[in-house]
Amino acid sequence: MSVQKGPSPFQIYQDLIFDLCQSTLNDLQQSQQVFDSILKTLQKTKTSDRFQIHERSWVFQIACQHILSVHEKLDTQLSCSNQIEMDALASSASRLKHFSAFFQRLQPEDRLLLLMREKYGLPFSEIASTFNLSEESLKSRRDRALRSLEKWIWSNK
Amino acid sequence: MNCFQIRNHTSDILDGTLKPEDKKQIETHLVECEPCSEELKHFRIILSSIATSPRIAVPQEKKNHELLMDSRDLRRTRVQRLRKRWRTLPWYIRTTLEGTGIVFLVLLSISAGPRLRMFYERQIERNVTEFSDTFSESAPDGLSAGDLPVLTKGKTGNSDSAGIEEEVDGGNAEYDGESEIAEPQDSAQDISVGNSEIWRFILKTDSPKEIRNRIVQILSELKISRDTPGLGGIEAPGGIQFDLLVPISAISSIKRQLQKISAKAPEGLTKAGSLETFAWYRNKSRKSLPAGKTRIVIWLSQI
Repeated sequence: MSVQKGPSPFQIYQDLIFDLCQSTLNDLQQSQQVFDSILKTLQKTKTSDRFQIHERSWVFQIACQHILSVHEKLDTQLSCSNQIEMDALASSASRLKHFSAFFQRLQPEDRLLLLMREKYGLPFSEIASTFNLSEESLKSRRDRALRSLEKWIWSNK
Repeated sequence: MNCFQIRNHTSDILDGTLKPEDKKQIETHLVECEPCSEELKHFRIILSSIATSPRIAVPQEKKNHELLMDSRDLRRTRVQRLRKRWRTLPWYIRTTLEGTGIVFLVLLSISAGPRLRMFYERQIERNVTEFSDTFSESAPDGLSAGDLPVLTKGKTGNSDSAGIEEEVDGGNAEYDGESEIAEPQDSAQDISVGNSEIWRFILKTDSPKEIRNRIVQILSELKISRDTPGLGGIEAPGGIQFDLLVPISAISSIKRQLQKISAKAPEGLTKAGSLETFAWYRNKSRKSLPAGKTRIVIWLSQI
């Protein structure tokens, strides 16, 4: 009885991975390069049977490693003048319109966590295996990131 | 519940995973405490902003990238790409490469031919050697060349066959006068041995002495006594002759063994239809032979 070969992991998750790269790095060219390197790594790495269950967390683990390694070399932060300009916006509503700029102020790990949890709906257990952290650590990290964003946008501190 | 405790439960509040007993207290606090409720509201706005941010799909040119293809499509794409590149090469380069490839293949097959033939010949040689070794090893008493009975030079009457007279001339044995001469029989048929019979075997060989030694070994294996007159054979012009009495039961084995050792005829002679290397006949003997015994006459003639 022949086993039908389904799509490969990077075919299933290619859009998610690309969006994760772009949302975290905020640079299309860099995102494409990181995307290519992630796909090459996924292609080279042989998936064993256990990855049929935890395939998504394995894919995201590889993606996060590549993104974080590239982020170290990149400077995705706004310039000081831009940041001052952002902070000088009068109302929280106008600052909320530039939410992505404030989002880029977060640490890359925090950005990845928030994106995976809120945008892609991954459970904490899966994110914990991706980052190799406990769920409690992830929850407190998320709280810290939310408070930072809240402070920048609403409290303007 | 105070604000500090509310802060510790922020994550559960946002995810809706509060315990029932905590839920009531938290709701009560949030109704009363504006900063906490405001903070939670801001958190919810942030989370919804993240959740509703537009998703960026993989660009189309990346989707056609070979990394995103499965292996079968990838192979097909690569083959198509190679074919395209081949067609874009100038005709003289293509012709040169193709010609070189063909010449290389022809040279390879030419050089491989003799080697294959040599290998095949070595195989045959090995098989023949193994057969000879097996055959020579099977002599039960370890008969070596030195142990073989002496080959006598014979003429008329020198045979030690008891009471049997027969002339040996240029290679044709005389048959007993009015005896029945059986037609040469197909060696595949079963043979029945009667009393007072003469069995004649004619072998044509290019090395009668070598075959003679083998015949002596065959006869020794069949427990024919070394003292049997005629066991050593008689050398005569044109070949060697054995003329001896053997038990009737040994005839079929002797016939089988002689057939085995008879040489294959050279190709040219076989095609002409003029040469068989093994033949056998049966005659009735005029003279009575000892009970249980029959006479065999083996003639080894030189090809």
